[in-house]
Amino acid sequence: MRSASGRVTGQRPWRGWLRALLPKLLNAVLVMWAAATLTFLLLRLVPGDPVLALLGGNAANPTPETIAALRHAYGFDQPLILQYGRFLNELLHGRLGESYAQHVAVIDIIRQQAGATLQLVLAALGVAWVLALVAVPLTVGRRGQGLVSMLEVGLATVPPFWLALILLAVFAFGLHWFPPAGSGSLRALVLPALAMGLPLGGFVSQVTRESFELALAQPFVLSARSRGLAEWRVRLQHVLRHALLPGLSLSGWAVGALVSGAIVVEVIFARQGLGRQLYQAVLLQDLPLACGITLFVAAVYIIANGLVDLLVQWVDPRTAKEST
Amino acid sequence: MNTRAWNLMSPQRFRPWQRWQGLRQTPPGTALSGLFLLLILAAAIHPALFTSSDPFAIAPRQAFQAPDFRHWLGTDSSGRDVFARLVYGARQSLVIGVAAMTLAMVIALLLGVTAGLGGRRLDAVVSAGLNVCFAFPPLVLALLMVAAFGTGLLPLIIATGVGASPGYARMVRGQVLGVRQAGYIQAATVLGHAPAGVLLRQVIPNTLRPLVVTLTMGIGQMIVWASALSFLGLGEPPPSPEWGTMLSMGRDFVATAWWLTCMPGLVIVLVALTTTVLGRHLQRKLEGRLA
Amino acid sequence: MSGAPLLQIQDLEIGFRRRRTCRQVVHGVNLRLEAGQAAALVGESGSGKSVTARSLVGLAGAGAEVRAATLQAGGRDLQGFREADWRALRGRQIGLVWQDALVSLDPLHTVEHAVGEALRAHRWGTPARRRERVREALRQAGLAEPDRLLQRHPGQLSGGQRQRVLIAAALVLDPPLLIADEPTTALDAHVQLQIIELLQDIVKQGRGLLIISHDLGLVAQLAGQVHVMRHGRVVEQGDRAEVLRQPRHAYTRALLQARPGRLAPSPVVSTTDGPPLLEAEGLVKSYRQADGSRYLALAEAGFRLAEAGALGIIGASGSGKSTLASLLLGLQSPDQGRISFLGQPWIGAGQAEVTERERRPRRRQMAAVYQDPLSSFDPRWTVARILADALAAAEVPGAEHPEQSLELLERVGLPTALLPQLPASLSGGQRQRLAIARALAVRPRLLICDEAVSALDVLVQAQILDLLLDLRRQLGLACVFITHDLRVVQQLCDQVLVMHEGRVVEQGPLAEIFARPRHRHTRELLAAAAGVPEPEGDQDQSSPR
Repeated sequence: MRSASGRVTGQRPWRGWLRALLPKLLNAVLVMWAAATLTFLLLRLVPGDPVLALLGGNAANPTPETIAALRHAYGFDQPLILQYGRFLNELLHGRLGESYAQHVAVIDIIRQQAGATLQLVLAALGVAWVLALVAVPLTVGRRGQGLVSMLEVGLATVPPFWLALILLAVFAFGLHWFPPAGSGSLRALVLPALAMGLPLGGFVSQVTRESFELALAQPFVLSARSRGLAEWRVRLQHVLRHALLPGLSLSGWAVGALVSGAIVVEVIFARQGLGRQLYQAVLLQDLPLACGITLFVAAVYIIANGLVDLLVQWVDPRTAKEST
Repeated sequence: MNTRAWNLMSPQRFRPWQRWQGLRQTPPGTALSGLFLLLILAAAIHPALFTSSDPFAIAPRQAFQAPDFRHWLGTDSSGRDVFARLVYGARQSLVIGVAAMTLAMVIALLLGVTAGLGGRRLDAVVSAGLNVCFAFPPLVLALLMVAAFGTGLLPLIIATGVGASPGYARMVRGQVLGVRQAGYIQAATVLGHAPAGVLLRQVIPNTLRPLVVTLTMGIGQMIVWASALSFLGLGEPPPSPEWGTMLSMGRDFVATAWWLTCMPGLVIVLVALTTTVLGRHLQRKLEGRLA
Repeated sequence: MSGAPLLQIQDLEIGFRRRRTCRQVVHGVNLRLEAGQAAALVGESGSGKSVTARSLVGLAGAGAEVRAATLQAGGRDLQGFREADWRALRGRQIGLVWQDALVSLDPLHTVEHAVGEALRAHRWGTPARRRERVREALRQAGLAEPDRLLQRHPGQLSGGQRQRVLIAAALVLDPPLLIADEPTTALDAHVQLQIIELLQDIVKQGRGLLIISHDLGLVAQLAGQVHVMRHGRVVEQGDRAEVLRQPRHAYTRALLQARPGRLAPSPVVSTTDGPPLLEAEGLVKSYRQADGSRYLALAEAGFRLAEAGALGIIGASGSGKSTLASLLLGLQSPDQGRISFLGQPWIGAGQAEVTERERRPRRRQMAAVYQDPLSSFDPRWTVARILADALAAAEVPGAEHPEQSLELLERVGLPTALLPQLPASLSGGQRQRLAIARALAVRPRLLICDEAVSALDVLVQAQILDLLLDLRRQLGLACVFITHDLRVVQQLCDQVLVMHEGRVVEQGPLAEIFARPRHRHTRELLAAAAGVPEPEGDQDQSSPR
């Protein structure tokens, strides 16, 4: 509109989407690098001798020669900067070190266990959105909305680990509908997914409800109604798209929160997964594994957020123009 | 001096009668929440008010009693009274919640105000740093810190507080930026006020005001997270009456002694719920002033 | 059916029920509209005109209770209508165009989707026929090349295009009656004229038109019948000629008189010799946008303002006047050019940049009143504190604050009972008066009003403008009025600066600009402002060119 009068100058002729993608990629790489550095510092600056932990702690009573040899092999006797360089180099080659406790490459452990966790996280996200998409468009502005809203607030404040225990008590041990532990079957996925998905669903519903109410009061809704559109159509075709946006942006953060929740839920349900691995690594002070999993989670979080950003831009083309 | 003028100039809301009238209009949900939190606070300060039993007293013959008249919420695996343990645990949980939230808020204020007031470059640096922190889910960050520094009450508080601070820092930063660009700050500049004065008298108070809401709701959040960490065995070891520890102690008996997990969890949920309700009420009152 | 009037309303009453109480918002509206006629509901916000229009299609709102002796559209009784009946009526019998196309069109849907919506809702034709009908409707609404617009979103269209799309969406099923709520607000002057012509054509084609507006000028050009509403009641109704030229009710008279420009500007003698109070030269300002390009907001602006003079800066949105305002207030630095205030540099570019510290001692001599007073007050502060704060800025000792605050309130016509209240609980007019009081507290020599009355109702606007005129006379204040409304300038200023697309297209004394406008844009502005008929005699200008 404005460029016709010559008031806008210096537009770069690159393709729009490429130009928008580049800074995001750069940002992602930067965050990954910073996360890696943080874990490295934590690994090296923590009190306690890593070599001793490698050999099984004080109880193993290693000889000074063994200690020195191992120290040299792992490069712990070198200056910090060189160790850092080696660490980054290993990282770029996809190696995250070796677990102190399991004596297996960290990357292998992650490869084996990540699938179950991702399965759980996606299932929980699905539960949350199903709840929000059903509860919100049906009940906003209608009778009973106060009750449903209170239910959502209640769900949102319930800690996932407590809900897991309750579900376990009632549905696994009480009614025997679902197995109390295990990671193989779909049935074993139900209770853990509900335990994590319902509280998130309550939160997402609340957020979506607020924006749905706001959108419903907008003038374009009046226009849609004035054209003879039925109420359900107005809600689905016009209002929902606007209402989804805050919830979608939230989903990126939600992935991180779900991974957090997965830690406890996997422990409770004795499921395979990175959460339980992280927990055990923390108990045994197995720092390489703990840091490796953390880095992996950070990477997943960044990718998830990137995908969410793209999704939001697709739903609302206006956000493509705004800068962060 | 014109006393009539001074009378007119004192804001209405400070007169005691107006305050009492305001309180009477509180909705029932909020009033109940406030009452519950006061009870928790009382239990934390003076537990003996609520129970005469000793939370640590072992009575093996009375283990696993379901809730009844003698033991209102039942007994645990060693015969300890669950209700008494919950009451004594209130102090620990409240301390953890308040301490962790204070820590989180202090860090958040430092980072957020620096980013908001410090100019574009400083803001870019701090924001980039926060972005990195966000890549680590809070519980994971807390776990990492426990792995590095060990278990116990103090690491628990630090881990929870530091883990939550990036989220709050971002909130503070957003608040500061919003206030800085507000019309009344511009108007103050045009009037000729010095920037330092504007900062102290207008920017800071307007920034801090909505944070009271965040603080209230945050205490509940911190208690939930800390109890998650204790539940994993990374907080106070048993037989501490800390609510998360109680949950982990009861976990093995979920099928048989349901009250061991249900009751502590219920209290945690109620604290989280009541702080949220109270926080929302404060938020509505704050917005009502501005609307 | 051809004999039945399009609208027949008798004794319409609308109330809103909330729990036990029912609040009446409309009392006794009577209206009869035939094909080929146009009627108008005139009033300020809160008069009940919009809710009346909405009740004609069953969209009055939640909890609304609509009662009438007669309520018919096209001969059908609307009072027994169920939801399905309303849906059949909307879009097909009655087309609706709501206020402000920017928010009345869904920003996430394309033009094609919006215009075709009524067709789909009423299951009209096949997809191919619908697309063709959409194109036809867009052409009917005056858009010459509809294919280029079909896939665009409202945000990518100009104001005029959006309004036409909204009208097309209402006409797509060819309804015999069209209701338009404020169809020309937020549009530039020449676009307004085009839309008015479009609506006149629609009436000539044999449709009925019901206009809702507060703008008597617009109404005069379109409506044959005029109904003036106030507080939910019709205070005057009748033929256009009668109501506008010989108003019987005091309120109608007040509305007609309240339009700025009705009064002859009283000449305030401004000293033209001696150093100018405010001088701007060669101001250029551009901004860097998110995608790296530069947007030139202001290109070469300059003027000179003498002591006690009044300058009006006129321009539409995007003309650069807001940028100029923020430069005048010293809130930004220009890329080029300079401003000097009271003989000393005020703002400068590059090497000549002036620091805030150099400006601050003189800030007291310049005060500002903004478009949205509420956001210019600290939300925690009472009226008393706001005034005390301004007095403190002027270094008035604390002991004198109460007395001087009372004096300031009196000068702007506010009751002292407002002192302990928060600005949020004041009305729009009261807030603006408070803003003026605060501005006067520092005893400035220059007052800058940035769209100070744009957000106020017509009657309140008139009051504030009168107040400003009085203050100018009493205090010898120099003023700069930044506005988009020529008529405001006409009442208050002796110099005019016309801005368009970032440039100053014309400047000079008021009388000369008005008598001999040179630039095309100035002429368009004058033509739009003059489209108001004179109540006393004179031919009414239905096509003002």
